[in-house]
Amino acid sequence: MITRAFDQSARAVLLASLVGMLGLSLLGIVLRWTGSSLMWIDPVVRHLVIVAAFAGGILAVGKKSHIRIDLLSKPMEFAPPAMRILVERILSLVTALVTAALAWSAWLFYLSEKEYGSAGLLGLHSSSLVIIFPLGWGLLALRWLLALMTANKAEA
Amino acid sequence: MLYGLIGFFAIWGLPVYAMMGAVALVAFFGADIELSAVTVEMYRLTSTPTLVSIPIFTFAGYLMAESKSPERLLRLAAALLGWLPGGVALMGIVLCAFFTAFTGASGVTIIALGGLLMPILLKEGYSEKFALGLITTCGSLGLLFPPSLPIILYGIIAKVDIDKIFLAGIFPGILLIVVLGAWSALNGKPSSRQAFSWQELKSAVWTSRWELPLPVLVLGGIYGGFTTTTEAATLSAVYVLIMVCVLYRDLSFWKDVPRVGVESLTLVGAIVLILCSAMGLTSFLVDNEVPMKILATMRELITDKWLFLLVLNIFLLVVGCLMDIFSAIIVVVPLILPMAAEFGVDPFHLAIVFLTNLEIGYITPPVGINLFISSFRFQRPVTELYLASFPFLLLLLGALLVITYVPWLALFLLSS
Repeated sequence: MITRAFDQSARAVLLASLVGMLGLSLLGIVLRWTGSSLMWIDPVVRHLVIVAAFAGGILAVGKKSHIRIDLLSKPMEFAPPAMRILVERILSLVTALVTAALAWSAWLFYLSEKEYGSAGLLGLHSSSLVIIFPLGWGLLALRWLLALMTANKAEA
Repeated sequence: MLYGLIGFFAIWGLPVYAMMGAVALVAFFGADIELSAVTVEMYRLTSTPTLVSIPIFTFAGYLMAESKSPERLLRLAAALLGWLPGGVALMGIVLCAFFTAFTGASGVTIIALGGLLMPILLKEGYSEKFALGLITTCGSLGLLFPPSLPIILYGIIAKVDIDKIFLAGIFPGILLIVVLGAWSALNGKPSSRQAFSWQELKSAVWTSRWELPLPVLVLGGIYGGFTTTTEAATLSAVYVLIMVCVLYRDLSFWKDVPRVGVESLTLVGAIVLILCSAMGLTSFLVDNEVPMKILATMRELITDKWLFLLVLNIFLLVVGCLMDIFSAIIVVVPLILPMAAEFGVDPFHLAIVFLTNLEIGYITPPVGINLFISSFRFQRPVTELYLASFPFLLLLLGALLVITYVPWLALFLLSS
């Protein structure tokens, strides 16, 4: 239930980012052709790519479509289900820990940006864009924890 | 110790971005650098202008793969090339190259076109083994053509002009097509050639009339100086969207487009996350002069450019069959660049040699990803795919040697 809500929210964010990226990029082109421009379009679109990356990353957890080094993961498809679940759980736990640590690192960056940053795009403080990173890694860590808890069901 | 543990989890299937993120965190922590520096490096990604072209081109490619474009273009290719010896196979090769260029060598080509091409090849008298090998090989064939995603990624990582890599890839890409086409002609039955018909060609051109301007839109826009790579991506995505939803009505805007959008951006998300976590790692490696240390060691063993390129080929083939192309570009390019510069290898030639190796890695046993995608798509044991793809692997290796040792092939369009 929580997993589903999580993934549906990520899906909505992903689609909104796609619409934003396409719409704003198109607006940028039209403005350039008409001899004017909005300076904030390009940076906002690039930040949307990062938002989409985190949302896509969250969805990829459920779809098990994250890119891995396919050394043992392929032969593992022939391993007994119990072993596959165990490996899956350990990997989910390790990934959750790593992404939580990355969220912590990003949070430290956010705090320093909040203290030393300045007004940037659209008059927003620069830290308000940096928040994408701690939020993204944090949500990804949560999604991996959910994957850890639902590994049995997913395998079944 | 910690690096060993991360490596251990990586071979068991830890996502690549988690592996790189973990290595970056441990490296920064070990060097007594504040951990926020890892994110500072990641944040640099938001100032990369071509970053946006990755999701948008991928979205456009996925839309085309989901529409009836493969069928229409297949018919056009058959009308154009079916009369040649091995023409039916050649049309499959050209079509796969076109699709791979747009879908970013993500396995979509085999899934989208494999089912269409297989019965046609069998009907034309090719053995099942040949058809399987050809389709598996073609799944990554257009990787050297614009607007291929790996090229864009390479350009971002290596900080070289993406438009110029697009140009450098054209002749080597054509060489790969010619080699596979010639092999198909040798293996085809003379009776399988179909008569050329102007009527059929006209009809096929008319059916594909909306797809045909697409390469012109992308290439003409970039090389005519009308658009940047990112703008070309946006325009082609909007064009494809209108084409498949309004002009052809293959896909429903409300029902299919969101699904395709999510599918394509899920792949992109996985790639950009790797890109993010690699930023910290690579800057750490560069700051600690790791590439220079490797170079110093190599200098003792390798003395000239050509030997360097040979060793590079062997190394990249191993990398290509163990790692996916996106991780390989992100991890290996920063290590290779200073060495290649030291040995006097042209950066654009290096890009093409690098990408050709990784393209071949897709069909290199034991873990080339195309082998598994074909195994899944055609429900055949992967060992059967190893055997079926082997002759094609040898042919591509021959072509790789030509691309490596005849730099002119890659650099001709840049110098003219």
